[in-house]
Amino acid sequence: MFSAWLNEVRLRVATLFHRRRLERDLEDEMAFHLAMREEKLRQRGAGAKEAGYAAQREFGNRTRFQEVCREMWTFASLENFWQDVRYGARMLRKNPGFGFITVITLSLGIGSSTWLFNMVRQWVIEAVAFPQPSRLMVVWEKDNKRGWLGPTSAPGFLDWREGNTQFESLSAWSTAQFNVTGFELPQRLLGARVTVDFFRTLRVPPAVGRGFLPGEDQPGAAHVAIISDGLWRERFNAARDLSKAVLRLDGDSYAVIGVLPEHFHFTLMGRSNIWVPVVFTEPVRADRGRGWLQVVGRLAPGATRETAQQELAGIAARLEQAYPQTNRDSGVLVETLTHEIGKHVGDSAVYTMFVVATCILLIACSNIAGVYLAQALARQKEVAMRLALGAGRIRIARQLLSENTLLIPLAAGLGVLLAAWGGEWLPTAIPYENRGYLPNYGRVYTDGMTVVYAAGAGLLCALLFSLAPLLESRRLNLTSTLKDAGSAVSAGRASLRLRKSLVAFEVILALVTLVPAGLTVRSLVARFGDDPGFRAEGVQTAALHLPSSEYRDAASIRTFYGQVLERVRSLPQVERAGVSRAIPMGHSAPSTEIRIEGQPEPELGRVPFTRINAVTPEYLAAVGLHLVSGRFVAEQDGAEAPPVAVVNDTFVRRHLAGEDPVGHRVRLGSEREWRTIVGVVRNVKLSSLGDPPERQAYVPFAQSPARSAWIVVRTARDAASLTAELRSAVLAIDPQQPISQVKPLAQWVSEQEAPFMILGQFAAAFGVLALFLAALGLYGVVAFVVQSRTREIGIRLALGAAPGTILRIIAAASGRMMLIAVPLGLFGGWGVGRLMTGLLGVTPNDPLIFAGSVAVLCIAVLLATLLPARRAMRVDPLTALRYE
Amino acid sequence: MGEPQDKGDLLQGTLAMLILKSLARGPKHGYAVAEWIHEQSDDVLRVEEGALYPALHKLELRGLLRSEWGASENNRRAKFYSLTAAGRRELTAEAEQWLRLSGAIARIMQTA
Repeated sequence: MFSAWLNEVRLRVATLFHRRRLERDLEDEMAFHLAMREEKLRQRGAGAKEAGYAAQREFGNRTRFQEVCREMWTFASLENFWQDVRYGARMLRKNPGFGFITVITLSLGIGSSTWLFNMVRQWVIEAVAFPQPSRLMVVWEKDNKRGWLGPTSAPGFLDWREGNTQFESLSAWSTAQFNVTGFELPQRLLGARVTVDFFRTLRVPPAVGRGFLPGEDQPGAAHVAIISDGLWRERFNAARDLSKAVLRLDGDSYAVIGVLPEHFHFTLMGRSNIWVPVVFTEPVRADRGRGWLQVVGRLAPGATRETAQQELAGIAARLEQAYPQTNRDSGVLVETLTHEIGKHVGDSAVYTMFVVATCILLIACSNIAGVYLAQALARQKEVAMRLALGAGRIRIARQLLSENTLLIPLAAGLGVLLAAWGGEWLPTAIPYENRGYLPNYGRVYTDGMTVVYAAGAGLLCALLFSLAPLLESRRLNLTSTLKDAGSAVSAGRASLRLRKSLVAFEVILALVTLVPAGLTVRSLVARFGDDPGFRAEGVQTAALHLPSSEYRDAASIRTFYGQVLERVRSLPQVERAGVSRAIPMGHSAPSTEIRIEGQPEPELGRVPFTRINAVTPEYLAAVGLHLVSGRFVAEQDGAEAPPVAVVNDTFVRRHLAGEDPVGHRVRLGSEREWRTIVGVVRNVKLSSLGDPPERQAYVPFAQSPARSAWIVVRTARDAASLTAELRSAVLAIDPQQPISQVKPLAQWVSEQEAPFMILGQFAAAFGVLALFLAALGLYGVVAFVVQSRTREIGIRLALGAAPGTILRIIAAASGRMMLIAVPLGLFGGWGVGRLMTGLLGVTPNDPLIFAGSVAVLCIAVLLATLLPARRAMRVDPLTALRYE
Repeated sequence: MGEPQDKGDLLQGTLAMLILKSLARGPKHGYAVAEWIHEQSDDVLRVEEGALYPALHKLELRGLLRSEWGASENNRRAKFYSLTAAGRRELTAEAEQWLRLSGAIARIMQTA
C-alpha cells in the first residue's frame, strides 16, 4: 500500500520536470486514437469528413479527458504555490528596498527570540542532565527567622537521612580544593567531598573503574578518588587500567578508582575534577554549629517535593527542640535540582529576556503588517475588482502576501544563523569561572528544535501579516469602492480603526520591552557606579594553601609569608604587596561573632556578626582601601604586640555611633583577649557589587596567621603579567607550593558581576532594538494614516480652516490612541519588571524609567504625526483635493 | 468519468478490470484496447472511447501498468501499455472476485 503510494509520488515528481512532455504525450496519444478510428471508418466506406466527425463523436470530450489526465499527473495546489512564489519574486524585484527591510527586521526579531528560546530550553528547562531529573531534589537548611538558605551540619544531614522515608537516597557534598602534586608543577584543582552514594543518587555510573563503596567513608579507610574525564586524559593519558593511578592530594596519596563519563557536569560544583569520600570523624559528627554540607536526594517512588518537605520539616522541628542552642529557628527547604541550577543560571533573567525578545519579534511583525495594510489600501480598487470577478478572499490575501513565501523562509534562516552566532558568542562574553556553573559550560547549541522554533516563529509572522489584509478585504464594500475614487475622501472609519489599533499595539509592545530594559540598565548603572571600597585596577591576586603537615605552627606560617612578600616586593614595578586571609569578591571572608567592651552581652543566638580579615600592613595600599580615621594595621602590631583591630564605618554606625571608635575594645569570635580599635576604613563590597553595607573588621596577619591566604600585589604594569614571577617567587621558598586562582582583582570583580554585565548588555541591546523597531513602525503607520487624510486636509484648508486647528485635530487623534495604549503598555512593562524583582536589585517601581519610556515613545509618535501633517498642509489645496 | 452514464455503459471499476484483461496477452496501445473490448464483447460493451484514457493513466499511476512509446502496426508513434507484476496479481484477484460474484448473481436469476 505504502510502496504503491511512494511509486505514485515518484511518477508525479518525475512529471514535474517534464511538464511539456506530458502535454505532448497526451495530445499525441489521443490524436493517434482518433486517426486509427478514422482510418477504420474510412475503410468501411465512410467519407473523409464523416469519418472524422464520427471518430470524434465516439471518442467524447477530448479536451476534458486530457485535462482529467493532466490533473492526475500533477500537483495542482503545489503549482498554485509556485505561481505565488514567482509572483512574489517579481514584486520583490520591483521593490527590493521593502524586501530588504522586511528580511532584516524579521530576522532580527526571529533571531533574538530563537536565541533566547535556546537559552531557556538548554539552560533552564533541560539543565539537569541526569536520569529522571525531575525526581532530584536539593535540601537546604533554612533560617526560619531570616529566610536564609544554607548548607547543613554533618549531624543534621545524618538525622535527615535516617529519619526520612520520602527519599530513596539522600547524599551530601561539599566543594573543596586540593593541592595536586606529583606532576611537573603543583596544581590546585576544584573538587568535592561527597558521600559514597552521591553518584548513585544522580544515577551516573563511572565510565571507567568503579564507584565508591560503602565503608570507604569511614575514618581510617584507604584513600580513594574518582576523577573527571578531562583530568584522566590529562594526567593518566586515558589509560583504562587504573591499578597504578595515584593522585597526591594535599600531601596524601589517593588511589584513583573511577573516571566519570565525559559529559558529566554537576553545575552546582562548577568545574570539579576530583571527588573523594567525605569522612565524618567523631568531632565532625558532634558539631551541629557548622553548616558545610549541601544535600541532594532522589525522591522515593510515590513521594513528591511537598511530602518530602513536610517530612523533613517535621524532623527539623524535632531537632530544634532537642538542640535549641544550635538549631534555633532552623528549618528545611526542599527544592528541585532544576530550580537550584536555574537560580545559578539566573532563570528569571533568562525568562524575562525571552519575553523581551519575543516582544521584539511581535514589534517586527506589526511593523511589516502595517506596511502590508498600507499596500492593501493602495490596491483597494484592484482587490475589489478581483472580488467582484469571483476570486476567493484567501487567494487574494495570499497573493498580496506572496512576497512572504520567499521572505519568511529567508528571514527564518537568517534568524537561525543569528541565534547560532549568539550561542557561540555567549561563552566568550562569560568569564571562564562562571561558565563552570552553567549547563554546557555556557554554550548554547543550535539543533533541530532551534530550526523548528524559528520556522514556527516565521509561520506565526506569516499568519499575523495575512490577518491584516484579510480583515481589510472583509470590510471592503465592493460597490462603493468600485464606483468611483470620490468615495475615498478619507479612509473608512473601520480601516482607520484597524490602523490605529496596530499603532496602539506597537506602543504597548514597545513599553513592555522598554520598561524592563530601562529598569535593568538603571539598576546596573547604579550597581557599577557605586564605590566598592577598593580599587581593582592594577592588582594581582594569588591564593596559597600551606599543608598543616609541614607548617605546624604560627611562626612557620609567618616566616613563609614574610619571605614570600620580601621576594615579591623585589619584583620590577611592584608597588605594594600584602598578604590577607580574604580578598574582595573572592568568596573568602568568614564571619565571626563580635562583642564590644562595655556593652551588655547580647542574648543567645542574637550575637552580631562581622566579616573578618587578617591582613599585613600593605594590604591597605595594595587593595586601595579608604582610611576614614585612626591608622591601619602596622608593622608594630606583631605577634607579641597588644592585639588591635581596624573596623569599617558600618561597624561604627551600628555599635559605636556618635563616639570616637578609636580606643574602644572588641572581642572577635572565640578569642580571649580584647582587641583595641586603632582605625576605621570605609565599607568594602566583599561578595558582590550589590552587597548592602555590612560590618567588617581587620586584624593584623601577624597576630592571626592562617595557612590559607592570598598574596595581593599592586603593580604599575599589566597585573596579569605577574603570574609567572609570582609562581617562581613562591616556588623559590617552597618548591611544593602551588599558587592558585591567580588572577587580577579586576577579573574577580568581572567574574562576580558577569551575570549582571551580560544581563545589562542584553537589556540595553534589546531596549535599543525595540525602540528602533517600534519607532520605525510607528512612524510608518502614523505617517500613513496622516497621509491618507491629505484630501480631507485639502478640503478643510480650502474651506478656510487654520493650519493650527488641523494640526490639533490630527494630533488629538494620535493623543487619544496614546491615552489607551500607554497605560496598558506601562502595566505590561511593570508586570515584566516584577518578574525581575529580587534579581539584581531591580525594582519595578521606578518612576523615572516609566516616565522616560513614555516620553521617548511620545516623541516618536509626535514626530511621526507632525512631519507628514506639515507636509500635507503645505500642499496646495487643489492638488490635495485631487490627491488619491 | 463524471459524465452521466447511459444504459449499457460499463459499471464503475469494471473498465479497469477489462483493460487489465485486454493486456494479459501482451502490450497494446489505447486504440487496440478499445477495439479488443468491442470485439470480445461482440459490440455489446460500449465504451466512450476517450474515457479509456483517464482509466489507463490511473492504472499506470497505481503501478499496475507501465507504458512505452513505440511504433504501431502502421508505423505511427503510439503509446503501448503492458501489465506489471502488480497488474497481473490485480487481474487474477479481480477476475476471481468477478467470477464468484457473477456466478452468484446468475444462480439467483436462474432460480426465479
